[in-house]
Amino acid sequence: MSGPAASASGRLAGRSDGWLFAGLSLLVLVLFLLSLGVGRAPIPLIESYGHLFADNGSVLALILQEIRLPRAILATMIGATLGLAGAALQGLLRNPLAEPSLIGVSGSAALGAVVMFYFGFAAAFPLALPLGGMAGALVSVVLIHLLAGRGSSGLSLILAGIAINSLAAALTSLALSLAPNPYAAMEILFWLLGSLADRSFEHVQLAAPFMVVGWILLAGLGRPLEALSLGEETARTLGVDLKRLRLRLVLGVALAVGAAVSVAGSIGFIGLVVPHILRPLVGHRPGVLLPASALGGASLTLAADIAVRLVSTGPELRLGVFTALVGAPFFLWLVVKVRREVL
Amino acid sequence: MSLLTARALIVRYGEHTVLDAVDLDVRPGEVVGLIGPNGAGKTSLLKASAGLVPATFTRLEIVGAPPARGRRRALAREVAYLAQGAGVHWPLAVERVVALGRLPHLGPWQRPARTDREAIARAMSEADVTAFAARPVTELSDGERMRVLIARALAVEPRLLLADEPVTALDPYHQLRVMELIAGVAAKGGGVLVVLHDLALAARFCHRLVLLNDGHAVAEGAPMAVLSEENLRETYGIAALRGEVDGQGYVLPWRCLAPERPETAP
Repeated sequence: MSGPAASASGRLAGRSDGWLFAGLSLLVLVLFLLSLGVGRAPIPLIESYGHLFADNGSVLALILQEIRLPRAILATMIGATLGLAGAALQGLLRNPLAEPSLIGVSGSAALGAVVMFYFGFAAAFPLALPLGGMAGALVSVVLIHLLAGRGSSGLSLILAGIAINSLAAALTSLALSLAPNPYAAMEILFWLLGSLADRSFEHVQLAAPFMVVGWILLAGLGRPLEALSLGEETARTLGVDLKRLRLRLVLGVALAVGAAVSVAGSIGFIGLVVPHILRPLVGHRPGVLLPASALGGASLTLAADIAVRLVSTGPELRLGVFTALVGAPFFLWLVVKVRREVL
Repeated sequence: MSLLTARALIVRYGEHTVLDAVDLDVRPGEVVGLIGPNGAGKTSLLKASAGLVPATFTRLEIVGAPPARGRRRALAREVAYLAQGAGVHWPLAVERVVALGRLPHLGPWQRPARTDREAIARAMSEADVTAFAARPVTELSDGERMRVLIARALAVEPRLLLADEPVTALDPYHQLRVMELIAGVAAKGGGVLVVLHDLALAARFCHRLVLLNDGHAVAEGAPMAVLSEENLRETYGIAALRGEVDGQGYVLPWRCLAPERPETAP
């Protein structure tokens, strides 16, 4: 006795999911290709794709293969990470204001990198920065686990995150104020602002494994997050192991976001805005929102990274500054609009 | 076979003992009502019966076996739990919410099969929510939302339904409607354990009542026997009107008894 209305709406939603994912994937692909065609060297868009596969060692081929390709790959991966992590945390905490920096991972990763700057390792060998960031992120995971691992509510996770965030911010400020010279302080500050400029395949190789492991940890969490929309107790009676869910999610977010922050600095608002925009399009289902937000985050980060290269005339605008400049007012508008609809 | 068997069940929150050596049975085809004043331990007993809170006991069997950690998923297919004041955190479509009841029956990457879709449709039609299947659950009235959440619980196709104050905040029509739905689970051979504050509904719909007071089960048995004048006076401190319609007794809470305080004139 299946109700006609029920089965019709079910089919409808399934089909629109398919269209959404096809559209988002196409968007990522188009933006990825556009990203390869944009840069300081004026290379015509179509022509640049020829250089991508050229094996002649020319300057243009080098620009495409060694500068623009890793940059586009990093933008895609980091954007996907931020979107996915934002959606996962919002699902876990059932709060649309949660974002990857909430659990203190970004701050700790930034601190780790700053420490590398401070002690001069960054000047000695370039990969010290991302390595330091990763170490910082892992320390924060251990701390979160110790602080919030026993507690059974999302609230203790938020509180632990806030504590770790403030500590990391305080130590970062300390490093800045004690910086050996103003240039070092400037360099730290600039790095904190977030950018994808001048990243190489070494950065990709370093960050990618951690991000992929993080994605794999997060990918299977769709069903438990759906169950969690009925509340923690009901989710448990639906067979969800809350402790395992929380541990796996925090670990996944920390690995992926820690790696992202380590190679690119902190890029705000992607993890907050992307799930927010896409949520109505997936019928507010926290599980389906995960892959959608990964694709959306990749698109938005690619677009923003194209934009900073297009609008910058002098020194390149920092990606993190740009996302905050555009993201904050947009988010404000979104909040006002949504509130008006709800009231 | 009993669906729920508890012997000497003890639940402690820190130093505080909220349930002290309670025995409980729920058999197939039976609606058992848990009644008692606020803070008597009704919700704790229900949660312990769902394996949600740590408890000590000489015996606790939920659908045949103790609630071990490894049995969580198997148990989720047999037992549905309706939390007190339950809501839904996102504006999910009604059909999606009901479909969540099928999660325990699905493997990690398994898509809902034909049997799952049929169970969802059946649960929705039983709870009478098919008409607004596509509407966001957050836009519904309290009564409609409660029916959706019951449909979610029915979609599990549970052998044991645990419901915590499912009719609070509903108008009389929806109170009766929800109780009929819950009784329907028992009519089909399942067991129901339901926490109720409404003594009239408890008397009307439950086969047996367990009266809790201060962590102890002070009375247990047929509804009208448990709702005796003496029991109501001792536990609730109230007097009730009682009567009989078509051979079925009813109870209507009438006035407070305040032995310590002088009674205020009306």
